[in-house]
Amino acid sequence: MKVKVSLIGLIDMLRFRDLGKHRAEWIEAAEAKPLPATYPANELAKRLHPKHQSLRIARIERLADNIALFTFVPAQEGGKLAPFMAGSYISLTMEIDGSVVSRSYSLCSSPKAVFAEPGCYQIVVKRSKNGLASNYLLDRAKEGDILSASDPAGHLNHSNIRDEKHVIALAGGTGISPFVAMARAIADGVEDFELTIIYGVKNRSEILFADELKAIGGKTGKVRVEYVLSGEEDPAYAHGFITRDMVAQAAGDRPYSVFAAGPAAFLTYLDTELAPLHLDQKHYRTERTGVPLPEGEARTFKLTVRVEDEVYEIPARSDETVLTALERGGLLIRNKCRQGSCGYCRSHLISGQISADLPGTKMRLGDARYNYFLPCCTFPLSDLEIQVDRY
Amino acid sequence: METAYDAIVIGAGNGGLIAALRLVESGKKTLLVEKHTVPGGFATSFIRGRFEFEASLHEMCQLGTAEKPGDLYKLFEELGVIDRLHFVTVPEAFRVICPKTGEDYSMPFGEENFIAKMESYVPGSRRSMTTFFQLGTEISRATKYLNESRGHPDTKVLRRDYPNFMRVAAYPIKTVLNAIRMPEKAQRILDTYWSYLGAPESRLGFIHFCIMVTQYIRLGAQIPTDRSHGISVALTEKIRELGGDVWFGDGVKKILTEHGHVTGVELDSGKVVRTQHVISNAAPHTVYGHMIDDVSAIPASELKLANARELSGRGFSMFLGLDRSPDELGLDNYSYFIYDSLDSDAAFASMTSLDRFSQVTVCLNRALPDCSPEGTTILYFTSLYFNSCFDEAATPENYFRLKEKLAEGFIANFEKATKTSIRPYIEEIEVATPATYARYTGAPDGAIYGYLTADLDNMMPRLMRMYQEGYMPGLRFCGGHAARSSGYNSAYLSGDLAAKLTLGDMKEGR
Ligand SMILES: Cc1cc2nc3c(=O)[nH]c(=O)nc-3n(C[C@H](O)[C@H](O)[C@H](O)COP(=O)(O)OP(=O)(O)OC[C@H]3O[C@@H](n4cnc5c(N)ncnc54)[C@H](O)[C@@H]3O)c2cc1C
Repeated sequence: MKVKVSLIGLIDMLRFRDLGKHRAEWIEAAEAKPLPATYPANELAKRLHPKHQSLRIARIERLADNIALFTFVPAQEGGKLAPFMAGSYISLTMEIDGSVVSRSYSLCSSPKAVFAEPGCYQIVVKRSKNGLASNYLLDRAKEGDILSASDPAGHLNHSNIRDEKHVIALAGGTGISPFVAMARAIADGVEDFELTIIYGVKNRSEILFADELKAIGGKTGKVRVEYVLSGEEDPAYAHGFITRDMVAQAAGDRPYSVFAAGPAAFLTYLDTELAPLHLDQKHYRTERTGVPLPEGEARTFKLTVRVEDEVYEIPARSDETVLTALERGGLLIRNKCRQGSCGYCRSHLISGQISADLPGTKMRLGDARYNYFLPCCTFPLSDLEIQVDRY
Repeated sequence: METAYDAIVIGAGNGGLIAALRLVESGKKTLLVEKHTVPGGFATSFIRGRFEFEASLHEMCQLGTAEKPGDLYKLFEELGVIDRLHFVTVPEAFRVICPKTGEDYSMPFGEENFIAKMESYVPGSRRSMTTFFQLGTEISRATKYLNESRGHPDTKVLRRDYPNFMRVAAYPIKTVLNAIRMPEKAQRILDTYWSYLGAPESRLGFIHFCIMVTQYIRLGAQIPTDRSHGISVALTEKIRELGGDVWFGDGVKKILTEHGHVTGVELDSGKVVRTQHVISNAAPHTVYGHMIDDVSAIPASELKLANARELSGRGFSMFLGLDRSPDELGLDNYSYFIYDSLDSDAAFASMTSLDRFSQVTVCLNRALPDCSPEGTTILYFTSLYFNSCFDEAATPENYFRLKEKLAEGFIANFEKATKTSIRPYIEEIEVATPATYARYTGAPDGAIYGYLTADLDNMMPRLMRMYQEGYMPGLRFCGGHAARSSGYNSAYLSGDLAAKLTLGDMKEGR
């Protein structure tokens, strides 16, 4: 075989030989000016997903006994907040009595409020009985305090491509937050879908945002709320728990998507309750707001933690997650959702036994094969040695 | 000076992982630092609902199988990891569609099959196709010789053993395909893979293209059973087993220098670690742009080279989890190349605006039937923007809506091209934009293929000059921005090359 490109093969040879020379000339001809320090896509990424956001508490409003609405603005004058889609949460980090603690809270403000001057985020905090963070926020945090937050995260968002135009949102207690954000987004023209919220609370006094949601409903014709009280009887409200009939009734004969947010027990209840509706996965999106703790007597194990070239030894209780043990020990690691879905706290199990069989958490195949685990939804069953990442 | 590590590798992308593994395997005390919390860079996966999505890999080139090993297979074998990696062979080469003209061709793997199928589409193409594959063989051998001669080949040997290589080496694709009288239509079909190299035929060196295509067709393409993340984790664990340190979640903020030589790195956490040898998987643009305080330490030739180059295409991807099986959806193929034109120059030119939806789309289940639960399908789309059109359009305010709008365009174009309906079955959807790639890998402007391999920055001129071009003492580069250009195979092999160059530097006291 002989391949001829130009008429005279010799020219090709020369061209080849000179390729290097031409490249050298091409380089030589360029300017030796400094390279850009950054690029538009990298800057956009930083705005969308800052590693930390420093927030100032602008306002704390009591909404009910043991429930408060927090409004945050950027700690720095002129600072910007990361935008989010309605339904997202942020993770707040606080230093409480020597522990570093972080907790995730759904944003209830409108996505549009991020772009006001100054931009703001809102969250609802409800006291949980022995909750370190909620007690701290409700009793000790004050306006003007500065907290550190993650970028917004989560997947309980409406997609015009994936989801139906009618969303039936099932909320228990403060699980209302993401849906308040959605209602506000609809009011602000950021989102365009129909939202029916079925809102289960114990007592009337715990109902949040009723007036505002009603007003949005009136103005847009796209938001409705139905209340269900489990702890008291009132002729004006349905009584008991959220049922499939309520969902079916709200749906009518139009296609719909169900979004549900709340504690693990609430979602487990819904799974059973809604089963006869035969919702396929596509039409049933959930977000768990916590991890159920194991029952039985607690034991304390030794947790050996490797971070880069440092080694720590701390106690870990069998009835608390490994993440909690790390935080108690003052070792903050990256985390966001705290319930086994974001994967951000992914760490390596070097030795020991863990229980990590929380339904709904899925590990990457490669991670499962090589003993990676999620400390946020894992409990120690023996002494452990683990490798974690620097925060 | 205190030296904590013999070498530090910045970034655990494909290049960095292999570089670190080669260094520890050679007995060097090595630290690999990765700013993200997972290894792999682009080579990763993520979970949405009941799906584990592959983040990037469509097809692995140059791997082959135990029976027919490619260079990459041999590298994994040499590094003692091949038995931990599990691959399957992709069922067919490609299907290429131009919805505008209705052109639609499906090509198989295997040289004979490929030539025969081409002959059925383009009678009279057999001869030129055969020549093309013969050229592929000669070129592979010639580049191997060039590599071994470390930039100083003997012209006599080249002329004697690789005369055709010499004749074609300096030309772009089209010139050579015309010279071997390949019919125009066959060229259009053969050119399909151009987008994997990210430059159009008029600017892409024939050598690079021919090597890639002939390797794909002869060795077939593979994908891992555990997604690319499975490979990245396996490599990480191997490095650790051999005594190397791998730190995640802490990036390198600065490379420290004294008198123009590397002396260590400073991490984002503030920790300073000493070394005299750094291999960077982060791009030269990134390193020279803001990681070296003493700018005078950067050789002028390096700054000039970086300034002369163009960034490659900015990446856009979409990942769909569908709640129907591929059969139910009528998705018969593994990879769909859907272009605005089968003329790659025209297709390239069209990929500079947000209202065009050229794409390479993979139905993973066609190679890995159980990659998703029964009755579901994983489909992922990749496209490129060859200018700043995305940057100009995207703002913090419109970002989420823009993603949705683009996604709709890519879905509609796919449905039109393949005459299928997928939109009603979308259970999970995720969209990655240049900002996403910038976020997770630090890639300048979210360019996913390193530097544009075009004109005098093609692979051939890069490799020819590799040993002559200056470098900063103690600093070598690997990965998609390095000499071998982007792609899994190139990035892995570049890590091996960078480690070997560094081992040489250590030996020579450089
Ligand atoms: C959607 C898509 C599809 C693709 N399809 C294919 C395909 O089918 N076949 C194929 O062969 N190739 C494909 N590619 C290309 C391939 O993925 C890349 O060429 C290859 O992975 C590049 O590897 P790399 O070594 O350059 O590392 P990169 O992936 O670029 O990783 C660099 C790493 O360095 C880290 N880093 C950067 N800066 C720092 C710092 N300062 N400190 C610490 N760490 C740092 C980053 O976090 C990152 O992990 C595809 C790419 C994409 C995006």
